[in-house]
Amino acid sequence: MPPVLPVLLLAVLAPPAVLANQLNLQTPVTSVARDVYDLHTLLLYITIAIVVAVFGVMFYAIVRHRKSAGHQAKQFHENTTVEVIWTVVPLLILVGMAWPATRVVLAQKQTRGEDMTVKVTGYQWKWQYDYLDDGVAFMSHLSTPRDGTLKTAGGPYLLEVDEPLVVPVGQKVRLLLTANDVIHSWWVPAFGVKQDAIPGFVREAWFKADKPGTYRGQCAELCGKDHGYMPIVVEVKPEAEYARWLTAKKAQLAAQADDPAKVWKLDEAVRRGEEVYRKNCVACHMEDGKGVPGTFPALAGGAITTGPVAAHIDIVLNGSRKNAAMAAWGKQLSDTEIATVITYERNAWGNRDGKVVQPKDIKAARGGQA
Amino acid sequence: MATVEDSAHLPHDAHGKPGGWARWVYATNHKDIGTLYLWFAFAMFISGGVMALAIRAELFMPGLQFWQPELFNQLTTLHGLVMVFGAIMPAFTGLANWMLPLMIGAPDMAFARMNNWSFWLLPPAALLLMLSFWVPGGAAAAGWTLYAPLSTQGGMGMDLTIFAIHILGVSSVMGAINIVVTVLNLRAPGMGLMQMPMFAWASLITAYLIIAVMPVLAGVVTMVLTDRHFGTHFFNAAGGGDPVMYQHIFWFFGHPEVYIMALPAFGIVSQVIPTFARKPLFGYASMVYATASIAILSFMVWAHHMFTTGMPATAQLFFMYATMLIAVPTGVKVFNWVATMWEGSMTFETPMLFAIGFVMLFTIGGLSGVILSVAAVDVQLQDSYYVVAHFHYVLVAGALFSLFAAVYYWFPKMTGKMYSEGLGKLHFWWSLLWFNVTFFPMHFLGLAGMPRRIPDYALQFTDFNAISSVGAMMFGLGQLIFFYNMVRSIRHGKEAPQLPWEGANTLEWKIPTPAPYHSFVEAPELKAGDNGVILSMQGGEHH
Amino acid sequence: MASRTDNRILLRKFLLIALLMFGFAWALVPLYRVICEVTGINQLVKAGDAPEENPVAGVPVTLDFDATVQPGLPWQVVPLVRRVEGRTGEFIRVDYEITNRSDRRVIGQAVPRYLPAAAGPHVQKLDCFCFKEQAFEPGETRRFPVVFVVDKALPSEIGRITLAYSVFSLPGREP
Repeated sequence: MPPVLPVLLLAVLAPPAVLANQLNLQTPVTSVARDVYDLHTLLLYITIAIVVAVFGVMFYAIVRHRKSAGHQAKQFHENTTVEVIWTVVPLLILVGMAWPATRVVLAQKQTRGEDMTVKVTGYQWKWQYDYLDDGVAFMSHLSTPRDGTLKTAGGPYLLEVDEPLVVPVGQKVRLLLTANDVIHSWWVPAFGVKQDAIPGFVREAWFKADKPGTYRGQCAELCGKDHGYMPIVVEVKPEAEYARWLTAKKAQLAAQADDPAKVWKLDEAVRRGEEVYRKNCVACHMEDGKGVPGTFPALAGGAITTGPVAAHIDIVLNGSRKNAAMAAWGKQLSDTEIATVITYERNAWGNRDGKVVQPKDIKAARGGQA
Repeated sequence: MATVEDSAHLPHDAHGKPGGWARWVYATNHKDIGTLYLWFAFAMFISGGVMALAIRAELFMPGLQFWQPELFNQLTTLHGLVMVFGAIMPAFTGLANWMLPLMIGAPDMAFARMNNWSFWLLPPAALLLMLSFWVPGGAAAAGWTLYAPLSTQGGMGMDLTIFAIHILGVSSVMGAINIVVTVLNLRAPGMGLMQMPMFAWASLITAYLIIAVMPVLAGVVTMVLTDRHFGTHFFNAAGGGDPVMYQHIFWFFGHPEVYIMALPAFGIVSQVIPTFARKPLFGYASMVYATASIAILSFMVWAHHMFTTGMPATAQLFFMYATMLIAVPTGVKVFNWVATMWEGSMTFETPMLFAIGFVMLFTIGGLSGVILSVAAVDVQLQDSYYVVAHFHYVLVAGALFSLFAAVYYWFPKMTGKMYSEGLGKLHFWWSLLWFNVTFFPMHFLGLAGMPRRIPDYALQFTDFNAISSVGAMMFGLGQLIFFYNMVRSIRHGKEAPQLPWEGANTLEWKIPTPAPYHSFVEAPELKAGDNGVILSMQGGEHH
Repeated sequence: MASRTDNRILLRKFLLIALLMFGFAWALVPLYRVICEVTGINQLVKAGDAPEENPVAGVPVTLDFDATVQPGLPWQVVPLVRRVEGRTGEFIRVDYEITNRSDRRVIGQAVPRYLPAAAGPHVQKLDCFCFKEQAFEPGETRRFPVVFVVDKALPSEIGRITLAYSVFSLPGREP
C-alpha cells in the first residue's frame, strides 16, 4: 500500500502533535485483542508484499514497455503455465491466512469458564450494566456536556461516562448483551470485543483484561440520533480495589433507592427532576427545553407541559402514540424519578405550574392507564 | 448532447430524430437514452457529492459546527443511497445502452420503449429522495442499509425512501432485462458469446445479478414498510420476528450489489487497457470465467457483513473462507491486466491513466477486503472508518475511476469531438492525489477505533479527519474540471478523427465517428476474435 | 439475428424470474425460521416434545438463568435461582417469579433464548410458562416452574447453557 503520499502530507500539513496519532490498532490488553493485533500485522505484511510484487511488475512495464520508449508490442495473449501459477499461488497464500485466523475465531467464541457475568443492555442512547452475580445495576451515560464547547467533565471528550463498568483485573468477564429498542454494538478496541446487542435476543462475549486501567470504546452500530454519544468506559481495577468499589456501590444504590411514600416539596422536586431530565431527556428536548422543531417537540411553553397533568404523566409513562421517538419511560424510571421530572418540566423555562407531582400520583397513573 | 442534433437529412421514418424536448421525453433511441442516463448519473453524482462534502465539513474538526446529529445521519444515509442507486448503477446502465449495440452490431436495444420507461422512472425516484429532506422528521436516517428496527422508527422520510427504492428497483430490473435480451438475441452474425467484448460480458453478468437481487431488496424494504404501518412483525422480536433476519435478507441483495457496481468496471478496464497497450487482452477466456465465478460466489458470502451479530463460530468460518475465495478470481483479473500491459507499446492518454489508477486503487481496496474477510480481525474493524476507507477504494477508485475512463474513451465516438487531453490529465492526477488524501487516513482512523456514522468524535481523531476533509473538498473541486472539459469539448472541441485511438479494434470503432444516429440498421457480417476484436466486417448499414 | 417474438419470450421469462426473486425474499422469512430452528441459531418460539428422564444421568452441565422484560410490559420477571449444576439426561426444575407491577390486567409471553445457540435443540422442556401467553391481574405475583431435560446428545464442548427469557407484551392483546 502506498501510505507515502498521505504520510508526507501529514508531515507537511500538520503540527508535530501529529506524530502521536494512532496509525495502528490500539494497544491490546487481552489475549484475544493481542491475537487480533498480531493477525492483522501478519495480514498487512502479506498484502504489502503482494502490492510490491504486482505493482513492481506493472510499473516496470509502464516505464519500459511504453511506445515513447520505442517498445514494440508483442502480441501474445495467453500462457497456461503462468495462469495456473497465479491461480494456485494466491490460493495457497489464502490457506496460509485462514490457518491462524481460524484459531483466533475459535478463541473469540470461547465464553466458558468465566469468573463473573455482566448483563449489558443498550438503550437509545446509554448502556445499562447489570452485575448478575452481585445484584448491582446502573445506567452509564455520556458525561461530556453537549453545550457546543469542547469542555469535558474531566475525561477525554466524548469518551467519558458518569458510571463506568468496573471489573477486576485478570478475571474472565462474560457479557450477556441485549438491547431495549434498536440494535447497538458494544465495542472496546483494547479488548478486541465488538458484539451487537439485539433487542429481544441475547448474545454473549467475553474479555479478561491483563492490566488495570481505563479503557474506552463507543457504540459501533448506528442506533439513531445520538449514536455518536454513547461511549463505553471500562475501569479495570486490582482485585481488592474492585471489592471495595463493589461494597461502596451496593451501599450507594441502597441509599439512592427513594422512599416512594415521601411527599416532595416544590424546590427539592425541581432539583431532583432536573437531574433526571439531564440524564434522560436532554438529548432530544434540549437543555433549553426548546426541542428540535419538526422532530422533538418543545417543552418550554409546550402543549403537554402546560396542559392537563394527566396527559403529561401519560406520555412520560407510556410514550407517545404519534411519535415513536418518545419512549415509554415507565419501565426505566422509578415513580419518584418520573414525578420529579414532570414537576421540573412544568416549572422550568418559563413554565409556571407551581404544583408538585408526587410519586403516589405516578403509582396511581400506572394503575389507571389503558 | 445537442451538437449532433440535425434531423434535416435523416430519413423521415417513424424512428427519426424529433427535435427539442420531445426527442428526450419520447426517446427510444439507445444513444439518446444512454445520454440521458449519463447526464442523470452525473447530476446524482454531484448531489451525492455535495452531501459527502457536507459530511466532511462537519467532520473537519471536533464539535458540531454545521449540522445537528439527526441531519448528519440523514446526510450519510442519502449520500449512500444516491451514489449507489442514483449515480453508479445508472451510469453503468447508460454506458451499456450507448455502447453495447455498437459493440455487438445490434440496431438498438431489444425493447426501445421499455428502455424509455426504465430511464424516466429514475427522475421521480430521485425527486422523492431529495424531497424527503423537507418532510416532517426529515429524510431517512438509518444508514443506506436501512437496518431494522431502526428503520421502523423515523418519520415519513423513510416511507418516501422505500417508495423510491421500489421505483429504482423496477427501473434497474427493466434496464437489466433489456441488456440481457440485447446481448443474447441481437448480436450480429459472427459475434459469438466467446468473442464478445469483456464489457458486453460484464454487462450481461451484471444484468443477471440485478434481475436476481433487486427484487429481493424490494421485498425486504416492503417488509419494513408493513412493519411500520400494517402491524406486521417481521423484524420485531416482540411479535416473533427477528431484527437479524433483516440483515440476512438485505445482504443477500447487498453483496451481489457490490459486484453490480464492480463487474462493469472490470469490463471497461478490459477494453481500455488492450487499446492503449496495443496488445490483445491477456487471458480472455479466464477473464470471462473469473467474472462469472465472482458473480456466483457473491451469493455465498453475504454474512461477512454480519460477523458481529453473534453468529456461531462455524458460520463465521464458512463465510470467512467463502469470502477469501473471491480473492482468487479477482486476483486472476488483476494479473491478466498487468500481463496485458507487459511487453505492450503503451501510451498514456486519459482513459489509460484512469484505467491504471483503477487497477492500483481497486487492488488496494480488494486487499483491505481480504483483511476484513478474516472474521477475527473484522470484529475489530466492522463499522469503523476502516470499512469506510475499504469500500470507497472499491467504489470511488473502482467504479468511479472506471466510469471516467469509459467516458473519456468513448467521448469521441459519442460526440464526434475530442476532449481536452490536458484537462483530462489534470483531472486524473488531481483526482488520484486528493482521493488518496481523503481516504487513506481513514484506514488509520478505523484501526485506532473511530466508529463510522458519527457526527462528532474524540480529539485523538482530529488530525486525520482534518486531512481527510481537506482532501474531500479538493477532490470535489476537481470534478469541476471534468464538467468543464465535457461541456466545452462538446461545444467547441476539435473534430475527432474516425479512429482516435490507434489500438482500438472493437466493433464500435469500425463505424463512423460520431456514431450515426441509426447504426447497424442492417446487421453486418463479422469475423471476430477474442474480446470483440473485429478481424473483418462486411455490410452493416447506418444512417 | 433473433426475431421480435424471441425477444418477447425472453422478456417474459426474465420478468417471471424477477417476480420469483421478489417472492423469494418473502420465502426467506419462513426459511430463516426453519434454518434457525434446525441449527439452534436464534430460537424463535418452540415448545418441547415430552422427553423421558434417562435413568443413567450423563455428563455434568451448568445452567444459568436470566430474563429480560421488553419495553411496554410492566412486569418483573426473576429466576429464583441463578445457577444450577445438573447433568444431562436428568430432570431439572427452576422457578421463576413474575409480578405484574401495574394496576391493570396485562398479557405477556416469554420466549426462551439459549446461549450458546447450539444448545437450544438439546433443551427439552416439559413445563414452561413460555408455552403459552400469560394473563396477570393487577399487582398479581405468581411462580412458575420450568422443568426440562438437557438431552445426552448435547455436544461435549458445551458445558454450560444460559437460558435467558425475553418477555414481551403481546401487541394488541391488552384487554
